[in-house]
Amino acid sequence: MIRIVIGGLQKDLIKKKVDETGGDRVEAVITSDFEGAKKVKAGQADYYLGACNSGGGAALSVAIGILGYNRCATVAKAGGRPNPQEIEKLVQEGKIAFGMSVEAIEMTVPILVQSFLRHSDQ
Amino acid sequence: MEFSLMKMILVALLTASTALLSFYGRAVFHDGIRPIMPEFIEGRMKRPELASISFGLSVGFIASVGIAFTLSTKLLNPWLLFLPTDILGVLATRAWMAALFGGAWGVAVVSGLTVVQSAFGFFPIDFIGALGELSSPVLAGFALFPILAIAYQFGWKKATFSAALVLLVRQLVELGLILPKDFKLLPEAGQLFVGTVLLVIFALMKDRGETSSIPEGESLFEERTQRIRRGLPFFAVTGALIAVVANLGYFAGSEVSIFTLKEAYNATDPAQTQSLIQQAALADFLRGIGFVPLIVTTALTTGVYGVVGLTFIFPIAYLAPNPVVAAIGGALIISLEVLLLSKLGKVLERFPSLREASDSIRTAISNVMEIALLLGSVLAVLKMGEFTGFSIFVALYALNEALGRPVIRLAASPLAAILTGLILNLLYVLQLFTPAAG
Repeated sequence: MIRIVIGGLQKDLIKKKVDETGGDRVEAVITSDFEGAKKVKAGQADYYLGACNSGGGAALSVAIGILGYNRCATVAKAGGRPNPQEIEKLVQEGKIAFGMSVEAIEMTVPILVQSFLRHSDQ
Repeated sequence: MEFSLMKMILVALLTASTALLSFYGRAVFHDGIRPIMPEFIEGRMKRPELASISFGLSVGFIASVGIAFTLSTKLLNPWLLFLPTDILGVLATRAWMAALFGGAWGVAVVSGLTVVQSAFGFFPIDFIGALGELSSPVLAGFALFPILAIAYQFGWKKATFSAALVLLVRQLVELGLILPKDFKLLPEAGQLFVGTVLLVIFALMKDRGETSSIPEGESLFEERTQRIRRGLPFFAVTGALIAVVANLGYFAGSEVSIFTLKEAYNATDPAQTQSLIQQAALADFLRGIGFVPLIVTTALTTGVYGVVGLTFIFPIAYLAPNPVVAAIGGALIISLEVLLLSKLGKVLERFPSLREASDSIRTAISNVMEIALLLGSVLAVLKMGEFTGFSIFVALYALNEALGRPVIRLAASPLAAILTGLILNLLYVLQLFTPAAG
């Protein structure tokens, strides 16, 4: 079971996409960015997902403050598309918090969750 | 707003000072660059790397929201001015370079805007005037954000109740039933007030009786707060400059006020201007509340502040009777915000639902604004070129969607409306389009 916390904007949409992709292999909890990042830091959750208008602002800013910059990555900026290879690489490198722009949630979340699942199977 | 040397000097001073704030790592506008700043301040990241990250995070916003909002309103906006100075300040290797780059950006924006606007004056079809249609939907749409925020956070029952109450208030204000005769209030202002009060009440009700966790890492916060406090004189100067340019009607603080302010400055009836300005101030004040938790938490965890503070300088600036009062008020309010930072952090720690409300508020605002700008843009293109305009607009908008939204939705509608105006003018020149008489 992979535990995912969701902060930032459009949390419901992110949760819906996580559940659709991961089914019963994931547990997605909607929370605030602050609570969520603290949960990940305390080991009560595995990954943090967040969205905002730019993909790097409200989506990740608190997570970066709490978890450290080198554990976080913006995977879909405003006006950009997520790159599955890049995401796979970031997950393998051990990044645990991911930000995306709200426009890209539907494309990005399934790629991320599939990467998490592959990573946990190893 | 016509070109003036005064405007250029003030804007250049402002952008020079925000570039300096970014150079020294004291404050940046972009909420996403703030948390990365400590990496640079503490020596784990070099300037070029940080500059390229800043550029990547900001370029889409500058090109879309920054340009589209300013072209459709003739008012400068923070995305256009401050996102570039974040980047320039980080990029500069010496303080004088930061000030020079920043100032040059201000000069470039003001003169570029003047040139573009006078060029627009020569177009046979006045599409910039038609973009005025954007303001009414924005005004009415924004007034509904508290209800949407309540729906996100507290479910549809409370949202339905709130919607009914807010609608009732709107009609009572509209008909002049609950306020003294000579008290002029836009119905939207009443809606916003009642909606926000309901949102806060629901949040406090939810937190009542819940035990709150004791904040951890207090000492770290304390050190970083000290760092922000030491920057206070710089913030006060920048705050004063922002307040002056906003007060003079050169600048609007956000997407929720810019169209209302444009309408206000164009209105011929002084009473109308005044009530629209009040509405814009209220809108930016409420938007500010939505952003407080984000800015406070990122500022406290990073020791880097926002160049516009907690954004409460905007309402003060619009409402001030003259630029001098605005400057003093702006400097005072931004100083007060800095002094209250750690207190605000503690309050937010104690009431988790308020912090959560901030996320729902921002989600709700971007949703209502997307709808309002889309419908407003449709009204504008209908005015420019009836259903010829409409077809061009829909084609452009749908193209952006189909390409995976290279332009974010918030900016897509006004930008598509501007492009529609340009295309209609081209068709007119080619004698393929005649605007309706009148």
